[in-house]
Amino acid sequence: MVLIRVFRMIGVAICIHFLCVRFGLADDLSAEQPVTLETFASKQDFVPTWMRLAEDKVHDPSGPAINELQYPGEILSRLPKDTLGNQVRWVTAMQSGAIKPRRSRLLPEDEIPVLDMDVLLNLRGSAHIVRFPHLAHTQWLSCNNCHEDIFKTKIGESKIGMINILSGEKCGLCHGAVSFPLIGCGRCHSVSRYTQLPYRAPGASGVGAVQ
Amino acid sequence: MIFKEMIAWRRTVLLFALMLFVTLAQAEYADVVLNRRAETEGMRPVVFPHWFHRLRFTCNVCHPDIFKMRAGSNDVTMAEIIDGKFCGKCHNGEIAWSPEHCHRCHSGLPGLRSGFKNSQNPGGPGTINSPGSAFGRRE
Ligand code: HEC
Ligand code: HEC
Ligand code: HEC
Ligand code: HEC
Ligand code: HEC
Ligand code: HEC
Repeated sequence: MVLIRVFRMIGVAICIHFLCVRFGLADDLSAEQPVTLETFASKQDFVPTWMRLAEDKVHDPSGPAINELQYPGEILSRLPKDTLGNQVRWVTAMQSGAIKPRRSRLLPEDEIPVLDMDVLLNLRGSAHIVRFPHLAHTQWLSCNNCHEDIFKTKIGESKIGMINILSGEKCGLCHGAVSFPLIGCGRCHSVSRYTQLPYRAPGASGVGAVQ
Repeated sequence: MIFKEMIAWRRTVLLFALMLFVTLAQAEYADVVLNRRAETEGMRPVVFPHWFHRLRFTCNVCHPDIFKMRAGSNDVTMAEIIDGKFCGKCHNGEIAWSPEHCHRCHSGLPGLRSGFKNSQNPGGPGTINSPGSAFGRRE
């Protein structure tokens, strides 16, 4: 029993250590600025490449549409670069006006609310704190995409955890499927535990935090 | 007590799986294959490209009004598309080209199952082709 426990602890320690080193998730006490995935990625010379549709193992290379459908790299290469997923930093693309996707199918455009409020999650864990930005999400989504179905409209009520995220629930429903994938640990776990946490501000814009 | 042990082990397994998973990174277009009936009725499976549509529309245009946000959960038929539902809300000859360009949608490799392709989402409960394992949907 004791032996099993020791093995388990060693196993967990190795895993966490590997992940933290790989993604700079742990607070580096000696450095002033913690290394995050962002800084890690920007140090590498990264040239994005996009797969041809005929080679993607989804489209039929002998089908009649293969020359009619657009090669993704043609457009995606002109958008802000990313090292993850389909290699487009969609948030920057949207906020810089590089793309202007329509918010409503038919004119006139409906008013779809945008909310600028960050929520801090995972305050008790050991990895970096998760900053969930409502702004980046509500520019793409409307409230009913998430509330009350996936997330409760009350901080700390939604039972979010890395296990259900990895199995395609909660944040993992979109992240890894359509939005930037889960290997971008540092993009969610983006706030160091050693920063002064902003207190919960009243009103719609501010920062909320789980106890 | 035993239950507690199991939960603790699950975390180790999860972390190992995570390590494996992070090394499997690849480019993704978030294509969804819809093939409930298409192939059995003699058409190629349908490939829906998220990357292409999100350049033109935000997510809330389609979700959750036109499509539920769960691969495989929308029972789409060709008759409804021609009637102006699902893809036919736009592919009606006004907002986008009409359904007569069969092969543009029915462009998938024969034999593909419904679900996400070219994505790192490890899959989860609720997807039509998820065999119940957390990593089953990866293809
Ligand atoms: C919100 C509106 C909308 C909906 C819903 C929609 N589409 Fe489209 N789709 C478009 C527009 C706009 C285009 C671009 C048309 C053009 O270029 O003239 C397009 C283009 C496409 C293309 C061509 C991509 C290329 O490479 O040129 C495919 C394939 C496609 N749609 C499949 C689908 C399928 C399958 C569905 C349903 C599951 C669907 N679409 C639902 C708006 C929509
Ligand atoms: C889509 C955003 C997102 C991504 C990407 C992400 N996480 Fe998380 N993670 C979360 C959230 C949200 C929680 C908090 C759950 C809670 O509040 O308890 C969490 C919790 C955790 C926890 C448990 C709590 C702790 O600190 O001990 C670990 C460990 C963890 N993440 C590691 C990782 C690793 C390693 C990666 C990269 C492979 C990663 N995460 C990528 C959102 C994310
Ligand atoms: C991408 C998903 C997503 C979208 C879209 C979204 N939210 Fe949230 N919202 C969250 C998450 C996650 C939380 C935190 C829940 C938790 O901690 O359990 C949250 C929390 C909240 C809270 C609780 C804050 C508090 O102080 O308790 C409010 C209010 C809220 N959201 C309003 C909105 C509104 C209004 C919109 C639409 C403009 C919106 N949300 C869109 C994911 C989303
Ligand atoms: C309904 C779908 C959905 C859910 C659920 C969701 N997200 Fe997102 N998220 C998006 C989209 C869409 C974007 C835009 C960027 C992209 O697609 O890569 C985004 C962007 C982000 C960004 C900004 C990335 C950047 O480039 O700056 C962060 C951070 C983030 N999400 C964290 C989370 C966390 C944490 C959760 C869970 C609490 C979550 N998301 C749940 C759809 C979602
Ligand atoms: C033109 C319509 C359209 C747009 C725009 C669109 N989607 Fe989808 N989405 C679909 C279709 C179709 C499916 C597949 C549904 C099915 O298989 O039944 C889908 C499936 C999904 C799923 C299910 C994934 C799973 O694993 O089950 C997610 C998550 C999703 N979309 C997120 C998004 C996000 C985030 C955006 C915005 C960046 C977005 N979608 C934009 C049409 C769209
Ligand atoms: C806008 C995209 C689109 C176009 C264009 C399109 N289809 Fe489909 N079709 C679909 C989708 C989505 C399904 C549902 C796939 C599934 O789950 O099996 C489907 C299903 C079918 C099915 C399966 C049985 C049924 O009735 O649902 C047949 C047969 C079919 N299509 C034939 C055609 C033919 C013939 C054309 C050209 C006249 C065509 N399709 C054009 C998207 C399209």
